[in-house]
Amino acid sequence: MTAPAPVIESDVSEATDEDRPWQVVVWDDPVNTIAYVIYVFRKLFGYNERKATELTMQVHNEGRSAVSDGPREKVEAECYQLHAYGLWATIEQT
Amino acid sequence: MSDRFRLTRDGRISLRLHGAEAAFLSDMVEMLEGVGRVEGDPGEQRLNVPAYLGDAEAANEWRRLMGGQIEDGRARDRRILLDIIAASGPVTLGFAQAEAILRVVNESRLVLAARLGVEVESDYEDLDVGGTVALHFLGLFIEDLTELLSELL
Repeated sequence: MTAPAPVIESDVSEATDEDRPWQVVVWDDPVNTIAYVIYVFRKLFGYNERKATELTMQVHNEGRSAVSDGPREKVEAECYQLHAYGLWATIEQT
Repeated sequence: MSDRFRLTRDGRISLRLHGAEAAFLSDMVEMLEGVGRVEGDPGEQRLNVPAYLGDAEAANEWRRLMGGQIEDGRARDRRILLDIIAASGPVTLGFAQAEAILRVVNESRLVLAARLGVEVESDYEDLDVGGTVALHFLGLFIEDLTELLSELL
């Protein structure tokens, strides 16, 4: 009689929906100026001018840009700050 | 840049508002204080965009948690601007004060544009002269102040 094969539990569990990273997305609008959006990205996220400009131009040209990611609580707080500056920001999972 | 703003040697911002500018900005604050009093106000809809798309429950919960803080911050910003208007002369602003003014003037432009029906770039072409001048003035004000604050980052 052979012993039953041991059940080997995988160390890598299936990622749940909640484990997937979250991101905050800024959407294009026809009122906020490009210079203002660049300023807000530099101020809130500490991005240098080059990165802030790249993200802003992505918003302008492609309609949206994921400007930051991380745990849900972090991006919810960042979304709050973006709304306080009048940017159209939303939260989504990647 | 207009002569409205000037960067001081100690890294602060000097602001001089002309009478008509101060009166207009005061009107803008009054406009902001009326946001949301009328159902379906496009200005209110623009300021309070949902934080989650396609998930009303999450959007409502986020608004429940954050909405009050956002409103309190906007009210503080408006008071700072009104204090500066009331000073009726040149004032020197610290960074936080200048940022408060930037936010409230930008908020004014967002609400005014929404109420004038600006949803896409081409809508600017349909504005009357008054709307065009008002949005242009606010845009220049924001542009100048943004430029100076960017130098201080």
